[in-house]
Amino acid sequence: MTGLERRYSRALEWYPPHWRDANADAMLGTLLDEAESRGRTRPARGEIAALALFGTRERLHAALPASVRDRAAALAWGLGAALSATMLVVVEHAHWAADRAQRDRATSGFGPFDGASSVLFGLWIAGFIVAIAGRSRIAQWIVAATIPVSIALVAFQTQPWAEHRPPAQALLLLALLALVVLQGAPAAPQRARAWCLVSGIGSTAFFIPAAFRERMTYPDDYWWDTRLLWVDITRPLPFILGFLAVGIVAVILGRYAWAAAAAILCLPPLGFVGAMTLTGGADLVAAGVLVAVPSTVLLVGRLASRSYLDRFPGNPG
Amino acid sequence: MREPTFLVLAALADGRKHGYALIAEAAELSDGRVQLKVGTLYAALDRLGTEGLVEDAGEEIVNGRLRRYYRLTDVGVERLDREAARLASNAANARAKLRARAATGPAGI
Repeated sequence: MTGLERRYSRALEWYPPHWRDANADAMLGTLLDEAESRGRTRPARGEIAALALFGTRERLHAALPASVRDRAAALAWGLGAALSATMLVVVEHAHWAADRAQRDRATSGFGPFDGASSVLFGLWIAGFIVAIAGRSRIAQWIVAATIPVSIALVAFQTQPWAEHRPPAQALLLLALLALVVLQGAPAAPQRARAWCLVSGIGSTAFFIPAAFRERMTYPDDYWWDTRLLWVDITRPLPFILGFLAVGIVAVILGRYAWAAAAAILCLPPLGFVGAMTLTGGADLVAAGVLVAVPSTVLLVGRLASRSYLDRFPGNPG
Repeated sequence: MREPTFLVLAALADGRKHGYALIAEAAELSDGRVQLKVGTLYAALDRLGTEGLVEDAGEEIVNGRLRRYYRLTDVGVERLDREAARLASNAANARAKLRARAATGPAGI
């Protein structure tokens, strides 16, 4: 075995065992053929790094197959868009608002809406519509943009435009849902769009009546207290129980990819519970930041690695 | 469909090919613009295989190295044909607009 062959073989160890069993020999042959045709005795610049990145990506994909990631992304997409649509209609806009709310909106600088939260909800809804239209790569970028918006709403909470923002717990939930969405395939098949649509309509059908019911239980003074409504509607336990129920039904029906996807969707609310526990159970802002920061690092890392891989023309994306 | 994916399918249009032959063919089809890297080529082949557009077409050992061959499936042929037609239509439309511009001069400035 030559030194070049050894280096390539070592780089291929980044790939998961099942991939190596199936492809390593053919890939090694191609790597050596190409090096020979170019008269190289060493790997080309960036070649080993690209193999390491692709190998790592294959390992991630092996741990979480595309069938599971796509289903989880579709569910998360529908859920995030439904939450956003509910709050945009019930809280942020609400042309039937009482005098107090009308005064607030008159000074918000966001037209008929209460504040900058409407940008966040608008992005979620726009991303959902673009995804349903089949432009899932663009839709993913739109949803990715919701994460910095969520962070800005937490970071600048004392600013007038962020005054009526949702609590950190809700922003955290939306940020985690966005991360799940970003794990789905950029080029979603027709069926995934149908999943998105069903998830969105189903979730909206649940949230809108729930939101109005919650509102009806409070006296008028609290009618427009968006933070209170968010706390009511984004309690972690119902989400976890709901997804567990979906998972159990999926297992009974033998739809294991759906069961795994439902289990993944339990993670955002569980992440919130974990963050709350770590921060002493009371600090919602700290809990939000605790999850938002690593989420952003993960997101930037993912986008950066995709951008790096895109520099290699063969990446099919 | 992105250009590299299109080039991989196009490279397979006239028959089965192994990894390095695909890289060389893609470079030739793109006048040297697209130089597929091996890691990215195999990721593409894996994805195209999952989508049912390409399939394995045998292996052989040459100079002690394994060569695996790939070929288009019927679905792959259909998809390539559709994509080629779309690109040709876009190109024809763009050329028609350029001809119109050359005849009348740029408008709206």
